[in-house]
Amino acid sequence: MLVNFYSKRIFNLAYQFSGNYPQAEDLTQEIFLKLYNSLAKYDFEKDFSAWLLTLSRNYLIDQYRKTKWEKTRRDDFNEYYLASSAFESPENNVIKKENKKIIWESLNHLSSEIRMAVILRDIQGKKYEEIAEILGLPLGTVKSRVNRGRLHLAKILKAQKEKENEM
Amino acid sequence: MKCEKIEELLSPYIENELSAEEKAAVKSHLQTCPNCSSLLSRLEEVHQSLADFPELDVNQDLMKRLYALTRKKRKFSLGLDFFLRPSLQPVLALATAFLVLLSFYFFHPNKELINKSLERQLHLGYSKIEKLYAKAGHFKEDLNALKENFLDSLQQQKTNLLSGGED
Repeated sequence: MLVNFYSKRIFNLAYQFSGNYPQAEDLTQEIFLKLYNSLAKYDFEKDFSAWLLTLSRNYLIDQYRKTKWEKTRRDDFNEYYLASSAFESPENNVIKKENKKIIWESLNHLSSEIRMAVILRDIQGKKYEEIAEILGLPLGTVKSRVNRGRLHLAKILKAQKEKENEM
Repeated sequence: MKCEKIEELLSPYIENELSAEEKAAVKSHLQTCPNCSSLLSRLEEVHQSLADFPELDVNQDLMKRLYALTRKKRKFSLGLDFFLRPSLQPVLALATAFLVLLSFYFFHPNKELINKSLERQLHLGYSKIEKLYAKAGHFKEDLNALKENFLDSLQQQKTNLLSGGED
């Protein structure tokens, strides 16, 4: 039952964080194993989804620090993220795809803590309060991390676009 | 306001989280600063692109691996689950305390002394019980004597009353 409810959420978080499909699969499996071993510690008064996301976040960041997989490249964007809105003009679609590609591949330039905050806020669309609970941080710190992450990505995008225009 | 300060406000600006004053300050800066204005456009693109990343489905192989994990876990924990129940904790604690005492007795260097002392205590306890038993016997006899006495006096009263009535 846990697998049916939560595997998609955990896998997507692991994939967005690591950027590598086979690695995200292994990480999902390891997180579930950790979940089964930690179920006894779950406090029933707490929200289970938030608790599970905290556990996943801790595991992902721990593994990231241990193995330093940021040195490995993220998957090519086109492999898994080709979906785009059908209502856009073809020209707009191309620009959007280009932006998405640059941003997807730049996510590993963010530190693990900042990347996690940006993923939870902007990709997964969680509220700042929920993220603060998951990360165990004050609201102001979460907002500042998301802000810094977005700015970093915007600067990368800006530099990339300027380079393309010069060419 | 300086560009660095404006940069920090751009993220809350696009999320509409600024006060009216801050918003006005950002707006007026953007009208005169092409650099910050272009950064804002990129930031909006980052925000939009991240929100557009689709949620991926978990492939069947990984689902199988995750289900297999729960089966393995169940098999592994079959024998242990019973003993790990919270309701058994006081029993296990008592059993541990008993085993500690037992090992203290068996591995004590002066085991003979402990034996003697135990024997003496047992003997004392036994003699106390004997005394109590003897006392209880006396008490029973006293009660019986009292009962007989009481019945005799009742009988006496009865005969006195009857003989008084005849007179």
